[in-house]
Amino acid sequence: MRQFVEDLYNQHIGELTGCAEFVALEEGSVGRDVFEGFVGNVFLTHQNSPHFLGFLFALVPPNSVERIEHNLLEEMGLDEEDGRSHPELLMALLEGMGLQDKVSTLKAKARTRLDEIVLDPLLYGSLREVGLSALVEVVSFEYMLSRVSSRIGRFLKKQCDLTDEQLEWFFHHSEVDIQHAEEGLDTIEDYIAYYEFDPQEAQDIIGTAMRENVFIKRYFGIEAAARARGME
Amino acid sequence: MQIPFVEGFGHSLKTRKASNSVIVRLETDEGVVGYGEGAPRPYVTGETVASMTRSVSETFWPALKGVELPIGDAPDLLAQVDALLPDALPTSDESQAGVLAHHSARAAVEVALLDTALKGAERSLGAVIQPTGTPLIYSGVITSESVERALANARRMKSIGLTVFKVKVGFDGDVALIASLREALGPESSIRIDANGVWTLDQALDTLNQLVSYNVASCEEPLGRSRMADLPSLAAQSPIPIMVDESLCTLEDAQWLGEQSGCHLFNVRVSKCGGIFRCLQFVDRARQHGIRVQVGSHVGETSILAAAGRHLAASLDDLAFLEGSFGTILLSVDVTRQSVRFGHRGMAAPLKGPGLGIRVLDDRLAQHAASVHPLDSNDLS
Repeated sequence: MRQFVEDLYNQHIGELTGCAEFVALEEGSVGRDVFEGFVGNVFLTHQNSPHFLGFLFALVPPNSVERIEHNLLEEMGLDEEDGRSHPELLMALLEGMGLQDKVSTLKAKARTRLDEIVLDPLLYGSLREVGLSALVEVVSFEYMLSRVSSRIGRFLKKQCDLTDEQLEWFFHHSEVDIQHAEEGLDTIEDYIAYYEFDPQEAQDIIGTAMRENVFIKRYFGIEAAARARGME
Repeated sequence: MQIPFVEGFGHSLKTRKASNSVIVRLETDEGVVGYGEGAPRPYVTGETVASMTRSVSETFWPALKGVELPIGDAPDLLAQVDALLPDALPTSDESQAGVLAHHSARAAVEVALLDTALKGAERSLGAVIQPTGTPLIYSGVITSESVERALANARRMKSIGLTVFKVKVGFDGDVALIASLREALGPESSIRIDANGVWTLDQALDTLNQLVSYNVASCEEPLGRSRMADLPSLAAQSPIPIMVDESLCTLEDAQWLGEQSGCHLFNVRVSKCGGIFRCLQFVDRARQHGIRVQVGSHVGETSILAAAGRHLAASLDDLAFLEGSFGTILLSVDVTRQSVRFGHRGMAAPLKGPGLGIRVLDDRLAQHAASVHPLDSNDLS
């Protein structure tokens, strides 16, 4: 199952780093407004991370509780003295880009996304399946960031003159999420075993959760995600 | 609108990758806003996005602008709104070009008028066409670009609890596909097929006879409009109930099919049939002739048409099958705050809020509009 999940994640990462929008940012062939849009989408995407981790904290098996708890505290800046929460790091990124005036709009959009998730009818019959679906998506971002975020940090530093401090969210993830991503895969395996998923059932739920490329969709929009898969 | 799908959706006539619905947004002088949606399909009613847009702006809007909107409390609101709408029969040029009816345009305008009038009275469409209490259980639709893909789709749908399925057929290997799906979905699942009109009478009979042992609940549109004359013969000989879809676009079609015993089921769709009032007329024709009804949908409908279909379906106590409300299972994004997508097991509840019972997000519409065509009542002539 671990290999199945990793294969899916790697496929999605390949699509992300190969999509025209990502390449253009990395090459610096687009204007500042495009970088601003990207950073705004990163902020928007990860604003709700503590909420999702809180949800998973309630669902994961006993063996994984400590890991999720640690991730959650770290996300909230409570894992060490003088720790900065990830939303604070994202705020520093936004300020570095001069996008302070967008904060309330982006936060409102993030709330709308959360509302939609809460309001959507549940496709599954119990939180057991919903939890697996959510876990797979949360870990997918950790897995992707552990492999791509320092690359993003580097091109933002070069193209947008941002400081390391302003880019800490990216560099932090590149270091910390390698461990988180591996632990995340452990948690998925633990979750599947603890709740006694049939392997085919687990694969079907994971496949459904990863049907679309959420990295491209969240960072570059649904049209970019569609283009990346020839769905124009 | 141009909303990409999460995954391509193919059948024997077309592979769709995005929704291209046309949304009608109606605003009264008092600021009440209502919405309607049409899904023009050249291979169904002959309408295109361009022709539908033209029909709304050049035929329906001139007939409506300046007209007093019926009061939402009116008991005969559906009939009153229908009476406001012109017949909009295709011109001879349009008929020659394959346009059967301007039903998508009519449906979009009718639903927008109903939504607006009912919101003005803070009344639900469910108060006009009342829910009967029949459980609303949506079908999963399995596309069949390959057996492997169809099986993967089927397993995913089964994992969300769906038990009623429609399978797109009309390709080589249909029998093997249905055999594989029956095995994967189990004997308790309901499976029906949709050929989208690609078979001849002999091909249909041959295939349907081979499928008998797989307990197929019905076969939708086996022959297509060009072979409608063969439907009575097929319906009489087929071991599997026959459902009509593309062959059922007008009330004249419904009358002929009923009188000629050309089918066992109607697929009634809000956009295809020209709105909710017209759909109920199709249902009446069906009942007169002992024909059962499926409330269907067009691939890529947003929550606006899905809500209209939900109200229609909820009002029928003899519904055979129900399709649609796929929401973000198919669309990358929907246009309402609260999706009307079905939930676990394909189940859904009747909608209760004012009008259609949905809250459309205007910024979402603007974001995904391929084009916008303002029609202003200030240009009253």
